[in-house]
Amino acid sequence: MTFELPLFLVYLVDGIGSLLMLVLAGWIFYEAHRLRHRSLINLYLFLLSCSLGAFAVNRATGHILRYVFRYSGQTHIWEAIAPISGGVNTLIFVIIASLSFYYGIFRNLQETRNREKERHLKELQKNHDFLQKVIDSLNTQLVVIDKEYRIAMANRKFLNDMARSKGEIIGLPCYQLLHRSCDTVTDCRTDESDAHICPWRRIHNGENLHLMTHVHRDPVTQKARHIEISASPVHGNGGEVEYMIETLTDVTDKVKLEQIQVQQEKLTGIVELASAVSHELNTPMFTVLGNAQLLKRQIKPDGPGASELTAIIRNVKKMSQLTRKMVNITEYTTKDYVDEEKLFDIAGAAESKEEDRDARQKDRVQREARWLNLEKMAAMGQLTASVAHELNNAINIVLGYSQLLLRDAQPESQSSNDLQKIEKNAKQCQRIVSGLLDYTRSMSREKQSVDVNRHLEDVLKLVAHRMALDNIEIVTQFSPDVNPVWMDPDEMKQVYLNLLNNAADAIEQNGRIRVKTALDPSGQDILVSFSDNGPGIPKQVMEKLFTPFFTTKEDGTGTGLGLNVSRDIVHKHGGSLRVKNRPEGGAVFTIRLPVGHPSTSTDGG
Amino acid sequence: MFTIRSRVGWYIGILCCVLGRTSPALAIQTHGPPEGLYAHQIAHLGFLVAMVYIYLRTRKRNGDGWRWIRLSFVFFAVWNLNTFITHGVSAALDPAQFQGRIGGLPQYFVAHSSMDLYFFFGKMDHLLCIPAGLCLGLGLRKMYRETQRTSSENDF
Repeated sequence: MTFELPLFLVYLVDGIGSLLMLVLAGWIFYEAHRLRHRSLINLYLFLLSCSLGAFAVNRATGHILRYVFRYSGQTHIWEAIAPISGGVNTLIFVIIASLSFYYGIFRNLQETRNREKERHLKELQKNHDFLQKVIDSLNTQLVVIDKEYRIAMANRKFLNDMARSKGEIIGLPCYQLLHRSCDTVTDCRTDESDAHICPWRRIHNGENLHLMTHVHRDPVTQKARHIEISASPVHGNGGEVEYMIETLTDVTDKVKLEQIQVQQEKLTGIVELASAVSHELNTPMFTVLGNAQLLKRQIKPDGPGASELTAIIRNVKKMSQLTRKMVNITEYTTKDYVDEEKLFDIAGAAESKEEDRDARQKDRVQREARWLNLEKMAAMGQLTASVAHELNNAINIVLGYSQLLLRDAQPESQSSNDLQKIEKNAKQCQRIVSGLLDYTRSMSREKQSVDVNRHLEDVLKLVAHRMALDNIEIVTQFSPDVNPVWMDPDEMKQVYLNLLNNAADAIEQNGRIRVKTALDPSGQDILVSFSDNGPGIPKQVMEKLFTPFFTTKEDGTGTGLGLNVSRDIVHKHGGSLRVKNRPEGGAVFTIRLPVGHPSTSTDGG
Repeated sequence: MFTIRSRVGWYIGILCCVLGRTSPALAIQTHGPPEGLYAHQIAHLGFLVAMVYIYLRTRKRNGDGWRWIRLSFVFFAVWNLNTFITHGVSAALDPAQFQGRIGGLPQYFVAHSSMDLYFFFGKMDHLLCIPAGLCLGLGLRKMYRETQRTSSENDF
């Protein structure tokens, strides 16, 4: 079977198709160009479109030229062009095939890389989750702060205690979150003292680890909370400090308990001192009473001095009543003291036996017992203080009347001798009671940051006159490295005066006292020493030196409380007072006091 | 010292001498006339396989744009197959099968077999490559619009 097929149909389709292909090539290139070439597939589509466009142009042009040349009988021209057109087409096909296969290869590589990246990301996420779990499991607050004082990270405990979400605190300045009163970092002072500065500043100063106590605001109640902070630097690759890690522990209860203990110790001290004072007063008081009664018997009831002697006797009796009252207070205080352990045993028996509940219960009961004791001690302390004041008033009246009578008495007479005994013993009573009064006054004093060298210079001015009279030279050797100390300047003044007066008493006349300050090599403490070139302290005296009411001074000139009180004051400041004889003669008293804030130094140790 | 112009002149001169004095190099194998056709046919096959491959690689991609583009791959693959066969058939045709003249062009094609018939219809391959180009253009256009819509939604 034979078909004679008209070729004009082929020519028509070919001609129109070639023209359409030229139009399509331009359009495809335009559309491909509009697509952004950011992804691999889009780049492939763009290159494929360019190749197909080039193919379309080459093929359409070739076909059109073929018709033109062959129709016009210029076949030889077409035959010269045809291989070029065909060759270009072949080349474009190869390019298209290569593009497609290379796209596949690159896509595989990309997918492998993406899978690797995804795997790494998963591992990173897993590690991150693990670390987050670890820090979230901490029972202490943890926060990371950047160089701009902004919070970069925080654990769950911190977020819960701050009552904030992570989104709310990340990027927030720490001084605004933790110290609500600070608007800028330069305003940020957690305490009035310079010793109590921002941990970031300490980290910048090169301290690797620091333990300090700050006062933060409770986010809900806005009440001050004592927070123990441990800060560590996070170094960058260049070694510079980039972040600071802080762990924060709320020690408000602990601090309060310590304050209670200190207060309790002070009050206990008063009551104990009152007990000793009551006993010490007996002898001089009854000497005064005996002498006054003896003198009264020697004069007529309406004679000169009778009324004054009556007043003296009345006031000595009042003193006697007051000392009995003090003894009663002491007995009452010690007898009814709440035993914390016993209280726990009673409370614990009725409560759960579970261990953790027991611990909590014990803590609560102990705290309550301390509060009970503190309240009672406070009341007793106040009572003792008021009794001491009354006692002091009575002594002053006795002393006043005795000095009045003494002025009018015949010198060298029996009555003058008796009145001198009354005055001497009244003064002794006054000294004994003044010790108690000083102790009660010290309770309400506030501590502050004090420049020790300057403080000592002020104290030395007070004793300069006495030293000059006794021809005692004061030599000072103050170290400029001595840092400020957190102390009660009045109390410490009392300590310095005691030691200086003791040294002067030991020298008597013509001697030298050396006052020296130095920073301990550890940098944690400062040392203040008072050395004299007196006879030194005998061994038997050294053993009793700090015992209350022990004195080597002549009867009536010392109370025996000075060194005892001084040691207590130094102990209250977290320091120590030591004494030793110098090999070259004389004694040296050395005070050791912690530098900076007491909580910083004691907690940081 | 030689100037750049004189140096270029020297190079052209040497090149002319070398080309003007050429003689058959026995080490180089000469290729007969079918080589061009074979290379072209192999390129068609490569194009065809590439289109099938790229179709399979992109079959999981969603969107109207990709549907049109995949359709264009199909058309291009079929066009390549058709052209491959047509080229093959045309090589075996007798010139006497082309009869009559319109200018320098034959007027009729005498088909004796089904392959001859296939050749006649296969010559109208634009019926395949025009839809292929059209689908590709449409697909690219739709992809562009989808990209535009996504970015405007993201901006919003």
